[in-house]
Parts: sequence; structure tokens; C-alpha cells
Amino acid sequence: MWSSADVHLAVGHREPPFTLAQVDLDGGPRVLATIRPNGELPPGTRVEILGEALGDVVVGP
Amino acid sequence: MTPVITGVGTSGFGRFPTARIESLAHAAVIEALDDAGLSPADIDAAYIGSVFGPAGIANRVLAGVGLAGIPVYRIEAACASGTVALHEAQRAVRTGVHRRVIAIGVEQLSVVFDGPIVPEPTDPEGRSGLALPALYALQANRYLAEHNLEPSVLAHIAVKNKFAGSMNPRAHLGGAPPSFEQVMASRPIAGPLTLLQCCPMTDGAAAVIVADGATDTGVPILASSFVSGPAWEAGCDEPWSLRTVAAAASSVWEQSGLGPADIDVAEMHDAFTIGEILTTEALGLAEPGTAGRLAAEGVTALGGRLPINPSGGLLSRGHPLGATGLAQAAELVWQLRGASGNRQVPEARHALLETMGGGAAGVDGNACVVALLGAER
Repeated sequence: MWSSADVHLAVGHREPPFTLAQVDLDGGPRVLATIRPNGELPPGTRVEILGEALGDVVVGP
Repeated sequence: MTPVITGVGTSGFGRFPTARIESLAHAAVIEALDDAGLSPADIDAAYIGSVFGPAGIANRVLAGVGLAGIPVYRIEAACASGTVALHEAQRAVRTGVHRRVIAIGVEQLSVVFDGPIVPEPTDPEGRSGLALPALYALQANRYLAEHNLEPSVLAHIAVKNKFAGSMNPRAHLGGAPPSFEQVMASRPIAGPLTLLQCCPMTDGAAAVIVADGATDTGVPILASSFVSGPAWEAGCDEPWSLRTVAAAASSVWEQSGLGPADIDVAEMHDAFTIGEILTTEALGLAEPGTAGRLAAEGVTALGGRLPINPSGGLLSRGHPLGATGLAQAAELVWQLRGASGNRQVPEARHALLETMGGGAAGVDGNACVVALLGAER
């Protein structure tokens, strides 16, 4: 987890609150992801890819 | 040939949905021409920054003030559009391509968006709902964790800039400034950023005339640098935009022979409070992790050692994207002339201008311009 932030704005089809994260994949690129369940995680937290929703990577602790 | 800013002008800043966008630009252009003591026939070329302005806006603006028929270039570089226009204008004069050039920025966001700017939906950021407040919030949370700081450190930037803006009659949010407690208690937007830590959506225009000869009130552009963001990817530990700002600043120091210690006043990109903190540090004006504290202690406030954003910044003067960089330049010209009234920074000789344009997927900002104005060393 490079960083994460709760978003309290409606953006496109997304209703607030939702949590976005920038995640450095092991040996791979930095990707934008949604955290499930909602909630910020400290930078450096290891997360796993839980799946995909609406074309987005979904991660969780 | 050192280019000299000989005239500046701006419209008022606010929400003007019933105005014609051309009329906003005309107010700025007419003031700048008058300030420079020039007529439209004296201008050789125009560079116009606008992000969401309609097609043909550049030529329509020029035609309405008697400037039609000269070479005109429209520039879109997100929030840095106006500053890139200024950079190109000074480059044209510095290299002898033109003698007198006008840079114009204009935006009318109130007729384009009902709320915040919607991210480009074909970008990964847009698809995922990463509006710009959220992009900056991610950087804020990373920064706060790296430096073991509390979110309250961000709020001091808003208090400082909104106080300065309360003394700027052209500011969008120029009313009574909020207290620290009010900034902290305003509604959450993204991560640690509250509403009063986010700039307003602003309509307005600004214009700057750059010429090849000194005048009594002219302000030399000692250096200017324009950097497009490199890829921002895994393994880069620096927050988004930091490397791009630092690269542009490094070039300006090299061009001018001056350094951060020579700067008396600065206008920089504070679309969100964390933006000013990161930029202050990337420019070398503060040690990493200290810019928020410097604001809290008054060092970067009006009356402090290095006032930053004496205009009120984007947080208070407002953020009419394409016009922002030129509004920043106008403020610094007034400061260097000693014409800023109750916002005046005493004995200002060197001023630093920075604007960051952001948003494109996967890169460390679309564009950043850093320029150094003031007396020759």
C-alpha cells in the first residue's frame, strides 16, 4: 500500500464514501485500486488483490 | 535578451455564469495593455491558455480587442495552461522571434461543471473515481505518514492563504477568513482534506505582456522552465508531482545563478493545502516535512520571512485553470513594483512563480512551470 484515502464526493457512478488506494504490486507496476471494506490503511500495509469490480482492481488487507 | 513583463491585468475572480467568456478575457487584456502603455497594434503575437474554453476562444478574444491577425497559439496544459503560455511568450521574446507578446489565460468553469471537475473517464483515474481532491489526498496521507505529522498541519496553509485573500479585492473567496477550527471542522472531501482546504471552481481571466526592452515599471523574467511529467510508477517513493516541480526549479536556479535563499516572495500551486506543502519543499524553500510548520509559525505568511501566496493563492483568489498562472504572475509583478497595498511584501526583489498541471494517467503531472522574476543580480 503506497497510500490510500477515503473519498466523500460522488464521482461518476460512484457514490461516497469509497476508499481508493495506490498499490505497488510485488515486482510490478503501481496500480490504482479500490479498498474493500472501505477504510484507509497505513502506507506500507500489505494487501492482497481480492478481485475486480467495474474494471477496477479491488484490494483488501 | 532578458524578457521583461511590461503590463499585467486580470478580471475579477468568482462565478460569472451569465457573462460572456470573451468579456472576462477582454477586461484582463485591456488592463494589461493600459498598464504597459501599448495599443493592440503594438502586439506581435498571442499565447492563450484555456482548458475548458470553447473551440475558437483564442481568436474570438483577440478579435474583440483589436488583436486579430497576429500569430495566435492556444495552449492546454491543465492547471498550468496560463503559465505555459507565459513561458512560451517569454521564450519568443528571449530568442528574438517576437518583440512584444501577450499571454492570456481565460476560463469559465461555472458554465461547464455543476460541481467539482469530473476526471477524464477514459483515464484509469477517471474510471476509478479518482477526482483531483482524492489524488492530492493520497499524497497527503503518504506525506503525513512519512513525516509522522498530524492532519492538522495541512489546515494552517488554508488559514494563512485565506487571510491573505481577505485583503485581495479581486479574490473569489475574499470575505472574512476562517479560523483554524473552522477549516478543520468543514466537511470532509477526501482523506485529510476538508472543504476549506480545497480551491473553489472559479471563472476569470488574466493577461501578461512580455517585451524586449526595459520600462520604468517592467519586471524582468530572469529564468523560466517548463517540464512535462515523467512516468510515475512503482518504486518512486516521492509523492506525485514532486520530481516534476523539483526538476523545473533546478533548471531555474541553473539559468539564473540564484537559489532558494534569494527568494523574497512566491506564488505557487495550492489547489489543495497539501499542494503548497509539497511544492514549497520541492522548490527547496523548506526542508522536507517542515512546510506546514512554517505556515503555522507565520514564516510563510504575510509579514513572515518568505511570504507564500500573498494573493490568497488558488485557495482564496480562486482557480480559473487557464488563467491561474497568469494571475499568479500579475500578483508577483505588483509585489515587485511595490504596488500590492496592504498585501505588500516589504522590499521584495526576487519572486518565484510555480504552477502545476496535473491529472493525466500514469505521469507525474501534465506540466509544471517555474519562473523567476525580479531584479538582475
